[in-house]
Amino acid sequence: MADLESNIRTFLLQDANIESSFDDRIFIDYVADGAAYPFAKISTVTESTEYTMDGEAIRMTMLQIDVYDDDKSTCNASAVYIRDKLSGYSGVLSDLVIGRIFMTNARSEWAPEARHFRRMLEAEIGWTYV
Amino acid sequence: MTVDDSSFQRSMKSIKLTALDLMKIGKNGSAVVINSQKEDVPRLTSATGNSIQSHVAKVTPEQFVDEIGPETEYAPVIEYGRADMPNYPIQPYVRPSAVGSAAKDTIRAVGTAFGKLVEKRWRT
Repeated sequence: MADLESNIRTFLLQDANIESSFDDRIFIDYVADGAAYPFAKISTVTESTEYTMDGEAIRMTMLQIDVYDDDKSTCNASAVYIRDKLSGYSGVLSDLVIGRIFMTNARSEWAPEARHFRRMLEAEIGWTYV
Repeated sequence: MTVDDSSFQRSMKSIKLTALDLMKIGKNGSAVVINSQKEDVPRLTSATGNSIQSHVAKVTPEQFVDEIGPETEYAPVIEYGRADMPNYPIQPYVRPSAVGSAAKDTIRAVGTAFGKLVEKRWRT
């Protein structure tokens, strides 16, 4: 039973723009040492479950997807690829049914010591297992 | 199935809420949000946890806006991680207070307070 983060990563890497931009450098929680720019990190902010009398109905998960790059325009462009791929999506990802994905925020940040930019995306996802 | 709620709607409209009423009701929800954030915030010195406060930004008979959150300088780092350290863990405690069961608890607290006010008005 695959988890949401892994399925989202796989789904993103199916996109030609994302694949050419990130190669396979979309990580979950932990970024590999020495990863080249751009790279992205997926983290779960929170997950809640809705129940009905029949049992589990839907899970609502908020993901934070951080995109890092040392070039501002490439950082923004890479983040837009991810945003466009996820925004409004509904369908089946492996063994998950995605109800809808809402992209809610996209903050931008410059890290002077690391000399790179971070674009932070937030995605709210309603989903359940098939 | 159609439920006729017209008499309920009329009753609701007949209750004239003042800004003070709305603030009293809203503050019940604020307390739930504050408690949720204080429960979830990681604690080392407790400075961030202790700094979580409510700041009422707007109160009218129609609207109650309360800005709730931590006030230490590094509070966003705990919530969002560090831009200069991609492997610095995020430890969210503000965003979870606005969704899921925390949001339901907040709505329930506000609803209960509103119900009590309606009952009080109805009795007098």
